[in-house]
Amino acid sequence: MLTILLALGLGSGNALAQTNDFGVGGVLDVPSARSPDEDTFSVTISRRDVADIYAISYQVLPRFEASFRYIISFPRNVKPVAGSFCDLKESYCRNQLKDRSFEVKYRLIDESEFIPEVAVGIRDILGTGVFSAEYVVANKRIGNLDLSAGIGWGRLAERSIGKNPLGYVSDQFYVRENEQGLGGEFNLRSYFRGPDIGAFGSVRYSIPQWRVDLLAAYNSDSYARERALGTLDSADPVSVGVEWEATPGVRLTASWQQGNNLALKLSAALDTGAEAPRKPPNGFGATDNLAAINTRDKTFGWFPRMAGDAEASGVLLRALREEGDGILRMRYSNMTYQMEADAIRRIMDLVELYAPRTVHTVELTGDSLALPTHTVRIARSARNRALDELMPPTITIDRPVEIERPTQLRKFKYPNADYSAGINLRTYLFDPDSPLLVRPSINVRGAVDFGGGWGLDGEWVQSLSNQFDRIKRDGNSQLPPVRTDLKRYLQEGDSGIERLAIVQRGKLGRDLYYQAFGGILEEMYSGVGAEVLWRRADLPFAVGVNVIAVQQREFDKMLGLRDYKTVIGHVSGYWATGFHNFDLAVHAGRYLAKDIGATFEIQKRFANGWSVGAFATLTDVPFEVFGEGSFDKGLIFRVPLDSYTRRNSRGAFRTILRSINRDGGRMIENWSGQLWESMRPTHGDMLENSRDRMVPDND
Amino acid sequence: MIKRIARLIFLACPLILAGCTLGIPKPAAIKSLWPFKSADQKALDAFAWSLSVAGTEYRVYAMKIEGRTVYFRNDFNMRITWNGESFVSIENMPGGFGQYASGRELNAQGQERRWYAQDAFPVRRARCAAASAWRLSEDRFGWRQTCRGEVDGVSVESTHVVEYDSKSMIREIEASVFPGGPRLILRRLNP
Repeated sequence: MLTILLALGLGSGNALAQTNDFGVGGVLDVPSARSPDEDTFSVTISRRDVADIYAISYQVLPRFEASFRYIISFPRNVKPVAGSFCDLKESYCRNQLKDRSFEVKYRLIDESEFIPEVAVGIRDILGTGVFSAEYVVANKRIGNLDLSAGIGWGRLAERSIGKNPLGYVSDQFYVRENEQGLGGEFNLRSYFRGPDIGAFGSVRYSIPQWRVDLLAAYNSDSYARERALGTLDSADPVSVGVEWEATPGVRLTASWQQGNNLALKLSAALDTGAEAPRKPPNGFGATDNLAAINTRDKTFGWFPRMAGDAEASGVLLRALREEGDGILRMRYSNMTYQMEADAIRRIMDLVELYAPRTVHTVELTGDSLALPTHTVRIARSARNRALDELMPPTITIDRPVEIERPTQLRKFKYPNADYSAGINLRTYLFDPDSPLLVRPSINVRGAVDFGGGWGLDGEWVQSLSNQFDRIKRDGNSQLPPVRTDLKRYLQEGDSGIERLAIVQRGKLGRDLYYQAFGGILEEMYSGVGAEVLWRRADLPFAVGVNVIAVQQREFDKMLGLRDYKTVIGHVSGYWATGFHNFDLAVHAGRYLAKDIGATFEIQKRFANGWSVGAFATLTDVPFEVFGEGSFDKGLIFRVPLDSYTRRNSRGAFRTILRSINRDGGRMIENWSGQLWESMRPTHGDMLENSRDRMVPDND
Repeated sequence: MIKRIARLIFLACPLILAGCTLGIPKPAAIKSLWPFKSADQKALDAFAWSLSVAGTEYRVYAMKIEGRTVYFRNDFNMRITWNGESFVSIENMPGGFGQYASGRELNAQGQERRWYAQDAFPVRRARCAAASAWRLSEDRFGWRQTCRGEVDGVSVESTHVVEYDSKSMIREIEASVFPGGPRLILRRLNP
């Protein structure tokens, strides 16, 4: 978590998130009505005697904030309070709970001259309820002073100011059910319930010239649980602190909380929806120049020059046809640019430099996984027609148009091999005994393109050191251990083959794509399978089907197989809604543990390569059979790596963060739905959103 | 310097720790992150210009001035000559740009024209209007010239612009590579 925070520190930009210790908008240990701008992603680490809290938060909609946190209670084994019953035997009071919780907050009213900003929040909507609380809070800014006041339920009602007003609606609101069972479920019988309510508030005074905020908070949570367990001997309601904005988006807070303990907090935020800066093409530029070509050969025409420069810039120009009516058709492959629009822009730069002036329209057909996915038509700028004023370019985005009988064809040699080696850090999170374990390794990856849609892809992991031998807990699943054997894979297969699969991709029709694959598909499974996807670049929805026959691999991650085998398959529907960049997907079918059900995905996906989302899988496995967490769910992140380098790169760090690893509702990693995922950046809406980047501005 | 060292650390650590595989960088990439500059390099920076053309940007240095002619070069042996009015030659531009030259000539009617010669293309010509002065403010003024011609049978135009600062030092030079083509822009990097 700390590492992600550091990563964010690099690109924090102008994102503003004034988070509290729990990772949502607030001051010290109380919430406020404030929330950051839409699409702001923030990471918060707070350290207190009571608990260390690691939180990631996301402003999903302008009014809706969501936060996932991991809480390590009593983190530094503070001695129990002298004289308490904990003195009898320290272990009676060991408050070493490690808890995951999920908070949501909704802004009901925007601030205006006389009306405060008002928000409502639920601090633990799915968890086991240790810090469970609900609140309604209002904020009003007066100059540099930001005042906040609210009422709370649950823990925020421990310092009671009166009866729960919702009790007037129904007596049921006076009863708060604290039993949360296996977690992972909405507990509607606890929200906004309880006999009493409490009142809390905060003050934030900003001194912009020093980038410092002075903070004070009154908390209606009396920390009764922590006092009972001897973590705190008393809990003063008032806490004070100072917050410093080290760089835009990165904030450090030191505070004196509950009148008896020093707390520190570090938070970082970035805007995932911000337009990525355009970078110069790789291979050209002040520090990285390729050699000039041999210009003595006068027969070396404009297309080879343009194709050569394009390849040096990270775009393959595969075929060209110059029509007599001034239309230049080209087939290209974006090998380098995170945003497809930047690859198109690079080609257009080179068209301006090399193509004859008779060309008035350029038609570019691009691909993904070497399959044509879209065509962009761009009218060259009016600058070339001796008009005094530039006309806005005309750009149309359409389904892919194949070039028939190209007049120029770049012939690439096959097989074409590529390899890379790098350092990797595999993490194992949320183990109750050791919340963060790591395994640094050297990963060697190789890929061979045989041409004709055939390819081979493999990866070897060579462990350098391994902390995974500290994992003690075995999976206690009532289902076949399709994923809970992870411990054995990590311990017995610390070095081994991560992936070695052959794949064949192609098209069955203009909008029908397929891939068939076989081999070692992922860390735990080998198998053979196929996927078919129907999608049109100009339509916001798509449909896919995949079937994979898999067999579990031996734990040493070599070529051996275990006995467990099954066939999984899903019918998938995808919808790029266009509403605040939301993508929805549903995958219905059979999972690894032979359970049947559906996975529901929601992701915010941006043209800059970022995506943030969540998923949940419900199958015919009863919650009590599934175990802790009740059903499979998690968060999805895709972080474009070129945000952190000066060079263009298509690389991305894509990960799924599960709070708990169970066996129900699990698929094969990276294969199911791969066609849609890979083609999504070239879909019509993504290109539409970045059309301004496609045209050279020539300065 | 601190910023560059911080960048070096920040580049490596978070990416590795976040779980992604970080490729082993090339020696040139590591060298580019080295925060210390030699005395020669510092001296050279005083003459640094940036050259933008067709979406790429290069650093070049004004190495010699003879009358109104300025000779630019860079570490990669790129050579650019500007004669006070136009880019008269460009050599060793990276990639397929080729050898480049331009100049003035008189046609049979005695009219002045500019010509532009670049590898792989026929010589292109344009008739230019007389240069005219322009002034936006005390520290932004210069001259501008518009040329019109026909390239590949299409009517096109090009512009040549020079901008000076308050000390009458050249701040920016702009010219079309050829009539209707992309612009070459040289900007002085140091005040």
